[in-house]
Amino acid sequence: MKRDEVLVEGVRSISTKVEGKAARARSGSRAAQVAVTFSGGVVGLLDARDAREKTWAEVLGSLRATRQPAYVEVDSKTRRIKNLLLPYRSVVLDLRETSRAGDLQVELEQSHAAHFLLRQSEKFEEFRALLENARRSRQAVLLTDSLDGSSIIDVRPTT
Amino acid sequence: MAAVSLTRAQQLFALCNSRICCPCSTPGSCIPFLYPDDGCWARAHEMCRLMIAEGATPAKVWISGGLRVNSSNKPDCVVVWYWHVAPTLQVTVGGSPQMYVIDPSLFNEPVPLATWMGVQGNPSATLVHTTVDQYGFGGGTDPTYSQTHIDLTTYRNRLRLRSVGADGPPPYTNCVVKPGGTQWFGLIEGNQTLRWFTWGWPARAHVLWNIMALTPCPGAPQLKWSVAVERYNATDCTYWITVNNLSADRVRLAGRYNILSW
Repeated sequence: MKRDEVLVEGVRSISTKVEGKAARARSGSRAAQVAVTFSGGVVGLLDARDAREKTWAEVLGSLRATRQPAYVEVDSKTRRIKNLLLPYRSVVLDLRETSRAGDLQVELEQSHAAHFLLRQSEKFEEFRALLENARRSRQAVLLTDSLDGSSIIDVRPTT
Repeated sequence: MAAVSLTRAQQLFALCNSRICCPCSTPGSCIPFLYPDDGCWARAHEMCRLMIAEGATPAKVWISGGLRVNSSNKPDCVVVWYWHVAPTLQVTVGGSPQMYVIDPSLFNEPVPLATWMGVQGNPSATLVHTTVDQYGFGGGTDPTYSQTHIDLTTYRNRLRLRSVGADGPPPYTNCVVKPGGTQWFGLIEGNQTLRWFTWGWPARAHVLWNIMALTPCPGAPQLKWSVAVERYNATDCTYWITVNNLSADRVRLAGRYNILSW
């Protein structure tokens, strides 16, 4: 079984495909599929009839306009976008253990919030190493928090 | 910084707070006060712009050093900051000037500096006062507000994504103690109609029902409701409350009652 593709990339283009008359008659509704092409060439799909996905399409449009990256999970089989988050692109200022079960607290130059890398994360060691390297080199990373802001779910170097 | 009256400070606070973002739609010029996690420097700069345009002379106060603030606008009910900033005004109280802070992300009115500092979880935090010109914690300026615009857009987008996601829009009712007279908290999708029922009410009591939107979204009515009653035995009844979301945005709500007589 193929897993979801996880991308942290800019948005190259967004196009909306509106169903023709015949297709509309078959489905009984006016479906609008939004195709989002990311900078690496991967295409993700959204259904503009769905309130959440319509919002995602608008946010992706905003990211494209401001040339900011998106964190997206794309279903490898259906090409549907399953998750959208906004990564930080920032230098790491500090990295320290919290008193809570060995979790790490991360300070970014572009944020006044504390970001938490939880010890229970599957990629704890990988992300910690990336953050350590970034702190030492003052090279910016792309860091993505969970939607509720409680934990870091992705870290990758900037290219 | 010229001192203003408390009434004037309240007006300026209301001016800033009137720009609060509807969490699910975040129209262009709004300020994302309901995303307390991050972006305070852009909110502060935009609030200063608004107040200066009204003839006021605000400044800024920066607080730093391990801050931890309870907030019902974050799903896990707490924000942890390295630092935070908000606009200040000199307010004449009892004939002498006092510094008040304008921070709708934390308060519903202007508050004295000590009150603002007092909720940030670190009595030994460091305070630094600057002019309005300083944009970021590390310095820099944004006289044209172009960076402010970019940063506010980022945090509006973060607020939108959270609000249309599994946690829904703020406030998060797991963070608050249910007030007396509140029967339930609910969430209703945009343009949706939902019906709740509540049973075991004494039929002899005169009960009034009221639905209150908890998610702020200024500009238009959000909810309307109707109440139906079912007398299911000699003494008790069930109320059926139908709520209609008039807006396109998700709204968190409270179902409230008042017993007028028994």
